[in-house]
Amino acid sequence: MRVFMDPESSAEPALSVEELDLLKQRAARYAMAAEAQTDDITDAIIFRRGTAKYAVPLVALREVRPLRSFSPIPSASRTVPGIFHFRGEVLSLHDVAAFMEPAVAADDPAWVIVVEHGGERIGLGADEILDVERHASGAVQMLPVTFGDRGAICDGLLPNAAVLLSAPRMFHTDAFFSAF
Amino acid sequence: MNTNMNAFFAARQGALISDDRDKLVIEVERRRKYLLLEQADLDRLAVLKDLAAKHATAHVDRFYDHLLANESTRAHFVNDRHIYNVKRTQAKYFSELFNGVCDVEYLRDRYRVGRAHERIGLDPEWYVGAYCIYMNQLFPMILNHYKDDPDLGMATVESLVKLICFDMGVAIDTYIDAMARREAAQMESYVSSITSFAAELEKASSDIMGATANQSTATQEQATGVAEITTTLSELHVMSAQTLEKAQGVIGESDRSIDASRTGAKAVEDAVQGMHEIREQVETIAQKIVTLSEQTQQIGDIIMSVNEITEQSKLLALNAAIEAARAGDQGRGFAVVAAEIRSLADQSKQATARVRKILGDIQNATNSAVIATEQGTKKVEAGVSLANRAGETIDMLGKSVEASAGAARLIANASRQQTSGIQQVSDAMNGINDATKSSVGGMQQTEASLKKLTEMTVHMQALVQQFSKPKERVPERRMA
Repeated sequence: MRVFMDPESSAEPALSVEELDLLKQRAARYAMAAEAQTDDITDAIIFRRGTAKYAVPLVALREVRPLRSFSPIPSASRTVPGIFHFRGEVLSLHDVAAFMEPAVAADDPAWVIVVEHGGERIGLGADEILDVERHASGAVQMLPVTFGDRGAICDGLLPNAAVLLSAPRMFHTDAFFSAF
Repeated sequence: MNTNMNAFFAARQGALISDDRDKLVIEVERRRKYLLLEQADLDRLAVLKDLAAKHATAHVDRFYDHLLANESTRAHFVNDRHIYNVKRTQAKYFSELFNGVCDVEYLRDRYRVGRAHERIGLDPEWYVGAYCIYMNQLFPMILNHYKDDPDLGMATVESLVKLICFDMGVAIDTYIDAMARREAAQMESYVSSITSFAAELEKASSDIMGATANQSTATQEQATGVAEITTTLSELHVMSAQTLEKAQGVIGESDRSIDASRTGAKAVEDAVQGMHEIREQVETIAQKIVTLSEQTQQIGDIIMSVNEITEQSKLLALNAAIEAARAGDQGRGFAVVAAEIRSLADQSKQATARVRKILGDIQNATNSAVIATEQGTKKVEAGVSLANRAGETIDMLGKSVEASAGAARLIANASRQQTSGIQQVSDAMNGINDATKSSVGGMQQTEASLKKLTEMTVHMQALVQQFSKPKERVPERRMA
């Protein structure tokens, strides 16, 4: 590995070639982020629940944390399986997979994504937090009509086939809140 | 031979005493014809029958006076009665000269008288002497009787001489026949004894010949056997020498093998020592590898901690991004930092994953190394065991080679003794061979002598055969 030494500060070791390449890549990403500000860009968290991938814009989120425990609601529907504590507050835990695919059973979620809208907050169960991706609004595609009523909580499909969930739609869909 | 002699004497005797009257007639005629004894002669004598009878007793007395005066002839008479009877018979005998008969009965009577004289031992000398005395008395008496006719007297004397000669011929032939029979009997006994002796001698010679031939054959076989034994002993001597040489070679090889086995035992001891050192080093390596494995496990634990930290960092970056998004434009720069932190967390996670994978490979390699070292340790232990067994085997081999060397020395000593013994036996066999050859020579001489003896026996038998044949009278000169 080649090492470049600073001629004026010989006490500190110079950066390696790999480190210089990494800095160059980072600078390029910064430049791309500056260019993207001119468009309608949205950052969204990508997670997996059941057999599908879902996305929620970061602006609609309050926090992401591991779901260490939750309190199941007796005789409740699978869409709202229980409640959990979040910073001294009791929130309802919603299973988007149970809502989108009622016939497919799933295990208890490992993560909870706290979504906030209009001062209200709910938790979405997730099996795995995949990534945070940035997409333009023009890249969002319409949901197929085959989603029917279940598409009421969605804004569309992202290019990576993740279902883009809409916080306002979720909070305004009664079926998504129907626990019984 | 006896048959021939008996037949000969029977033929001669048969002419006189044959029961075949025709033959006797022919014999009488033959004798009378040879003596020219005619019937006229007998008739002339018959004329004097009374005269002869008148003087017969006186003539006989005078004759016996002469006999009794002789010592040798007087011994034939026992007593006076005997003399009287003989005189009467003698008178009758002389009287028959004047019976005018000379036929078969006359011949038989004369033959019987001759046989009686021969049986009592009266020699022809006495018979001829008696006739001489009788004729000396008769002739004067006849001449005196025919003194008037001297020719008739002379003719009568001639007729008496013919008849007396007839009687003498018969008597002499009777003596000859008797003598011939005695000689024939003696000859027969002698020839029989010689023939029996010759047969026994021939048989004995044949037996000796057979025995000698068998002995000669046996001796020759013995000589052949001795020659074969001598040859075999020579071969055995050579083989014994070869055995001695081989045994000495084995001793040399055994000594070298003993040295080699000792060297091999030392090498095995060194190998065992080396194996022990290798096992100790392998155990040290195994211990170090186990330590390294444990340290690798600790590194894995640290990696897990780093991974958890990375996850926490990523979560924090995610929530920071959420806060930045909620902050709007004020949080845009913080969102970049959060994204960068999340990226670093991802890179850290990827790095830790690679480190984990490398650690897994290291652990697998370490486990393989531990297993390999354990196997190596076992191999070393097996090698030590094999080396020990090899050492034991080499030690046993050395002992076995030493035993073989001892046996080879025994074989060598035995071969030397055997060689000496074979030489002694060979010398003895040579002596036997010489004795056998000498015996063969003796056998050959014996066979030659026996052949000669057999030939002599055959020759003697031929001589006896020839001697026992009837002897024909062959005149030395024939009358002209």
